[in-house]
Amino acid sequence: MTGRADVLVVGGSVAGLRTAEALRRFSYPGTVTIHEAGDELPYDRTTLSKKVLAPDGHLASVGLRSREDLDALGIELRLRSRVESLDAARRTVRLDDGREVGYSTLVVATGSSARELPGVPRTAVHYLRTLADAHRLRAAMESARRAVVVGAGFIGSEVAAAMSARGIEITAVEPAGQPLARVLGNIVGARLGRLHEAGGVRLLPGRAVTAIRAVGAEKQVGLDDGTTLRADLVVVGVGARPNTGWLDGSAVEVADGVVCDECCRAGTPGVFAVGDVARWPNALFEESMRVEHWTNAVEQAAVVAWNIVNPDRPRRYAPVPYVWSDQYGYRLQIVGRPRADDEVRIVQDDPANAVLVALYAREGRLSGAFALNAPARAMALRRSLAARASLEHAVEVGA
Amino acid sequence: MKVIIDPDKCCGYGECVATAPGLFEIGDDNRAHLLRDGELSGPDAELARDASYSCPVEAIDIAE
Repeated sequence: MTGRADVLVVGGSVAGLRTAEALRRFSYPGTVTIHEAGDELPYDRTTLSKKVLAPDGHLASVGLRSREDLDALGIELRLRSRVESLDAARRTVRLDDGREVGYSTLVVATGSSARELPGVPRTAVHYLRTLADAHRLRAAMESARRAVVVGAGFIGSEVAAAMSARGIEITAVEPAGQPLARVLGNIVGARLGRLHEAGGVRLLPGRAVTAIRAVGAEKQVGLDDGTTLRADLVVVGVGARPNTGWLDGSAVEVADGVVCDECCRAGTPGVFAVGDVARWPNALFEESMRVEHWTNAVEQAAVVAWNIVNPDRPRRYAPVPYVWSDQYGYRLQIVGRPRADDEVRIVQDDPANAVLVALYAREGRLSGAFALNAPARAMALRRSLAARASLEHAVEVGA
Repeated sequence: MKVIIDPDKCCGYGECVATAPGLFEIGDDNRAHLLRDGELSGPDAELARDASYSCPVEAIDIAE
């Protein structure tokens, strides 16, 4: 054993950082060390597909904390320090340089990685997950005239919007149908599709990609209808998967994320999980979830830190999930857990001003809401969700 | 303590409203505003600190 930390945080992105900071807010007196595999100080990932790619994007403005900030809080951040495995019985992790570090409490905050398309060479496409990815994509966008975006979820939609602002000719392919249709269904998705089309993006809803290859500088995207799209640049945004490989063979249970209880404790003594990598039962929605949103990382971090400091009076984590997205100068907000197969009720619709509010319900109970350019309304609906409102009640409150 | 919202930083994401609905609201300009001015203490001060902490763009400053 060559090192020890009272709280050892694995992963130095927003979830890990905010857990460490919240420990200090709750006057935690012990040592707190973060091990981060990458070589960047904590940065704001949400800006990578928005501000950073915008024509006037400032690459320098993504940092969350300086060394001095962390020093002042007594948080030790070790960059380029990858945790390779866990021995939960000995409360020890092994680093990629072979050293071992012991802990009293382990916080798993290893986040998620971009899901890659099988069989597609890494050199033919861009994924967007890290600051380095954003730098590479931004550089490629400078000279691109034609681009293909594969996947019209959050990342694909935001990247398409950013490229459209640069005058790049864009085709977006989404096998599930309309943009964000996987979550919001095709009624709302079709409205979002119109925003893209108004931004000059050509949508190919329902088409699937069969192959992508690089032929010289040209990228060729084969589709399931036999056509081939040609482009200078291909961006793939087809979701993320939790980074749990380093826990294989450990005592920690993994099932699409680290399996936790309602208080974010993994089943193994002294182990918590936070952020994209954590799966826990959300009592408010009576559903096991794993949420990849910024707001979840920050809110969960506060609960995890509280529960580390106050093991005798732990808090349950039962939030209303919330995510925003900025596209074409519009604000999109999703609160709760809407699903494509939910009952959908449009309660506000003003196409001229690009305003849309849709409620989602399961068995009469409000399950989620989507708001386009209606932020006050989105927050009111978030409160309705926290209060387990019925659909009818939410319609009354919001109409 | 006093709460100050930086209008240049605020993007109206609404985390403060969710955290402390008695202290913040989203205005017609789609930005966060304080529901009341002046000194805060006790539980309200704690909520304001939580809101400051939860702001995605760190637009809420606390002056002790």
